[in-house]
Amino acid sequence: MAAVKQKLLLMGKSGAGKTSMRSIIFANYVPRETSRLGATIDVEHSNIRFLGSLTLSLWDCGGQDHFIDNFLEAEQENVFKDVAVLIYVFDAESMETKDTDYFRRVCDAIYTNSRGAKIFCLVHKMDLINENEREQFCKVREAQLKKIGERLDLTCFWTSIWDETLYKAWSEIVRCLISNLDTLKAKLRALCEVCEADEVVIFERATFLVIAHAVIEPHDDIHRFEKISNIIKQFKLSCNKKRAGLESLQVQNANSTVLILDFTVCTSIMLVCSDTRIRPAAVLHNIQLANEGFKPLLDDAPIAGSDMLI
Amino acid sequence: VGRPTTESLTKSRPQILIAGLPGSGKSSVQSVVFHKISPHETVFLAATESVHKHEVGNSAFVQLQILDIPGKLGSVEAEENLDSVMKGCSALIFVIDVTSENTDEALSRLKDTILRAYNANSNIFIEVFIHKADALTEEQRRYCQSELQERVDDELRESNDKVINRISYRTTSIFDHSVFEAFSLVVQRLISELGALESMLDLLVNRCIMEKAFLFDEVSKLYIATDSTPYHPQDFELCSDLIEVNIDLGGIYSEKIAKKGAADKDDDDKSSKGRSSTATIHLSNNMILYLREVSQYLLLVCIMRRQNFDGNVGLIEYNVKIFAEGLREIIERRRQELNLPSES
Ligand SMILES: Nc1nc2c(ncn2[C@@H]2O[C@H](COP(=O)(O)OP(=O)(O)OP(=O)(O)O)[C@@H](O)[C@H]2O)c(=O)[nH]1
Ligand SMILES: Nc1nc2c(ncn2[C@@H]2O[C@H](COP(=O)(O)OP(=O)(O)O)[C@@H](O)[C@H]2O)c(=O)[nH]1
Ligand SMILES: [Mg+2]
Repeated sequence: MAAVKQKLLLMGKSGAGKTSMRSIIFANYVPRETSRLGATIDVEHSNIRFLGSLTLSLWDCGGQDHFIDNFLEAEQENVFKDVAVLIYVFDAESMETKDTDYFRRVCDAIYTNSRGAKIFCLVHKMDLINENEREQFCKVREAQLKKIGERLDLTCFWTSIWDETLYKAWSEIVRCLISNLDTLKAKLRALCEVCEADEVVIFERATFLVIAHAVIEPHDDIHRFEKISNIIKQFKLSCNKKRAGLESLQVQNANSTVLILDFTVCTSIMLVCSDTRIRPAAVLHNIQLANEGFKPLLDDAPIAGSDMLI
Repeated sequence: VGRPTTESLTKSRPQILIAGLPGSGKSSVQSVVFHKISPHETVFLAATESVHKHEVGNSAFVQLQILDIPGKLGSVEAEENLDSVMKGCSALIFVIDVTSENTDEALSRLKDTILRAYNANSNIFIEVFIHKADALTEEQRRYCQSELQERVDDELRESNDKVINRISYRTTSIFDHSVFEAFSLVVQRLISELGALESMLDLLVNRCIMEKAFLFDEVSKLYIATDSTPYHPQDFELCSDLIEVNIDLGGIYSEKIAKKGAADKDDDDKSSKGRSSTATIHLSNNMILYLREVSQYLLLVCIMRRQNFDGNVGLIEYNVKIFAEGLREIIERRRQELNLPSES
């Protein structure tokens, strides 16, 4: 199947954290290293292979005023046409009217050039907002941003490079580009049942973003999967420092077994079993058997909105 | 076995005093190591205004009192009081900020504090943390350490020769593993059974053909002992990162279970449920990381070659069990001496 390219615009004012997040998710930076990043000049393009046939064409747009003005005026068509996703990053600590004015103009440009695009507002550096004030802060901002983008399909996220919120937001973003999610979920649920597992999760291998999950035993912590993305991604990086890749991980305690291992070429899989009679070897065998069936879905995933599909 | 009173614990826990100029990072060091504050959150720490005593009661080998003192010089009384505090301390950590401009002031404070501590207690271990070393390259770290050591040695030689041999120098940063490594070595100095633990680890490593084995305090992620094969900082890093993964995943997948097992919740002794926590990692370079809980809050973490691991798990588990039994004896004796509650 031919590769499909999806265009993602990453915008927001200078210093908001666009390059930082991109570097952590796609280029294996650890959060602290981002303080060394310089300002982005004009646009930095990167093409990221994601799940076999999908390529993310990420446009990291420099946020200084004269760049944004240029994108909105002379370059408007070039920048805003054929956009699948717009990711607009706000610096939570300094959101001024100027930022929302720019955002309004960007929304207009999207409406004109790529009406079907999905908009994700990432209100970023939330670690700098006092914990007691966060809830109220989010409520006010969300209402404000939704109003500005009311003609568009808009979702808000609250993020920080220091915790799992970054993985939550980016997992959602990439998931909206995968069209066969329902088939995938159904297959995953079947696998979960065969393995007698409580839950199964598929992660994209390089970024460790969550692709899909099946949950049989309910769990209270709704943020657990993005926490695991964060935990395992960090650990993979520390293995890399020893020039070693992480092939598999098995953690057992008195009550549960967690298995994480490479699955298809592009993905890793996690299984959680609380039944202590489960033998990891048997589970591994089931996963290997399932592998073939998942390959066409994951390593050559057909893409939403692509003209490859009929 | 009766519960020890706070008072008896207070008497038995060795004290570690942390000193240094204001803003050198004293509170940050102890918050990151013992209170699980994220390094980037330390910017919110306020200046310490009075002596803070932190009780640390983790595994049997990490029973400490950490005294965090203000960097600002205090009143005359407070300063006099410091002498009697130093008398009771087993170790002094002096934190010196490499990014700071006033090196001369730091050095003169360092010298004063060291002499004062030594005069109060000539058995005290002295540790100099050359801190915020994340600003330096590997080479600069080495250079900085040897230069500082030379300067301090020169100055101390004039006033007191013997104290020089009691001082160790280490470069540290809260943003990497170096502060945990350095604090591990401080804690190890205070463990009288260290030799015995090391021989037991050597035995285990030899019998199971391991590359390296560490005994860790789970909560603080400090290592208590390691075998005598050459030490590489990256091994320590990898093993301590594995502990973090083990704790984090365990944290996520234990709540639900707590509900399920609510019936037998009365005794919270983990061993009664029959399965201690273990983790196994396969790396692409044919190495295995193997983690096992060997006592309350004590983890054994080993690095092995795959060919020595595959097919030998039974043998390894058997030897680990023997190790754990030996460890239990040491801990039991230690608990009696320190007046800690028994585990069983
Ligand atoms: N870059 C860097 N900064 C650090 C490090 N350790 C601490 N800091 C920063 O240094 C500043 C001062 O840290 P504190 O721990 O409050 O200093 P202190 O020695 O307790 O100061 P007083 O209580 O006033 O004596 C904080 O902003 C920390 O974030 C480190 O390893 N590297
Ligand atoms: N406190 C905090 N700082 C952040 C966060 N994300 C990024 N930063 C910092 O913000 C600065 C600017 O980030 P950068 O990615 O270059 O911004 P860009 O101009 O939008 O690409 C860097 O020093 C980052 O380390 C965050 O979540 N919290
Ligand atoms: Mg302090």
